[in-house]
Amino acid sequence: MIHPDTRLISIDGVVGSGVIATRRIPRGTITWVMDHLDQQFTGNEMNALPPCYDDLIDRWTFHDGRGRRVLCWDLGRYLNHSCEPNCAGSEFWFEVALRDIEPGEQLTNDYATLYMRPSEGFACRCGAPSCRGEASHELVPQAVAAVHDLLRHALGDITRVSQPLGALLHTQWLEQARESLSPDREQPVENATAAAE
Amino acid sequence: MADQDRGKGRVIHPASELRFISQEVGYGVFATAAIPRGTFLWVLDHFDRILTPAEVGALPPMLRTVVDRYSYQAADGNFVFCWDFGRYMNHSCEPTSRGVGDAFEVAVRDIAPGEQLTCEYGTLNLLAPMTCYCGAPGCRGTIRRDDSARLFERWDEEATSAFALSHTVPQPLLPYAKLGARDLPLTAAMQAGGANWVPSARDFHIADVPREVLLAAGPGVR
Repeated sequence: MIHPDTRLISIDGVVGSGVIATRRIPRGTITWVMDHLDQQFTGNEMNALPPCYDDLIDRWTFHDGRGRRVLCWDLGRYLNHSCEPNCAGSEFWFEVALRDIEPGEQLTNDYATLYMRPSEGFACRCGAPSCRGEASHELVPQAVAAVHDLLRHALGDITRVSQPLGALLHTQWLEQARESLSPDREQPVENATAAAE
Repeated sequence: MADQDRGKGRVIHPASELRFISQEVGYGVFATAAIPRGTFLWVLDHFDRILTPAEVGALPPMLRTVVDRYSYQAADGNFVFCWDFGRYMNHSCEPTSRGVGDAFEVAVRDIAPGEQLTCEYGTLNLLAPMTCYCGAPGCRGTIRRDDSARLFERWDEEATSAFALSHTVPQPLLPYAKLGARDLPLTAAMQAGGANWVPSARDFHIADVPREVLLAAGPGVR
């Protein structure tokens, strides 16, 4: 479930829709948690779908890096990409604000840290100063490292801010995130890529 | 992510869009182009979430509220929570489509651009009676769980004659459909060039609210 202080807006004909904050969301706030209505599909389940679903899979699901595709039931599936994202953590099944998000600002993920299929790549128009110009299915190691660093710090604020989604967060997910993000145990990116295939 | 408002990427009819109506009604789905009678406006698909009564009963309160508002109870007793705009289709006592079989909503009249796509909640096994604001000439005022058991005859007539046209109009949603047992004879008849029989709306009705669901909802639901 996505944070309640969000709203879907139409961006433009190319990007489509996006999700903006309706109030300030401080760093460390849980912005999304996997819940009972989000669906997970195995690779075999995805392959069994009729071919017309390929486009729906690319558009609406994300790969959790552990062999499953996740389809969010709510606005969670409309988060756009930015090369300077303000949310991250979906591989741990919850997301956290990496910095303070102001009212009207879009909630974004860096897709270069997710596990896209080749057919999901696109030319990036995020407009961030450090925009890489494209988002492809290949993980960008520097981006993964940068996002993990921000995420580790943001998790430090998790008990200091109001958490409307707190009831849905499993403590073991948080512990797992903390453990795998700890500086002396940064996951090698190569392994993560292999796991996604 | 590309534009969900432009048609691809959802399994309610591509010539439709979501619009906010009012605080009281919430959202609704509107036609963006003319849609002929006999068109499937919605199909059950492989991304729609199916929940057993026990799963609904075990949901945390935040999600239970969502499911109570946006899901329906199908003829097999399970709850269907549509993943796409289908869940925002409003009720009308003179709806633009009727439920046919397990997976289809078929347009029972020609639909003009800008018209709201509506269905009949009387076949959805409502947990609690719903006050209706549809404004149709024959508005029933209150929609009840057992309406389909009493009013099925006219609904069946409309559904049957509309479904007979289903092979004559484009069906963009058909490839996405997740067909249930009652849909197989229908699609066979359709592919053979016509169908004169559809399952009765009476058979959508389940008399009792599942025990697990009642208990979790607490007082006030009946």
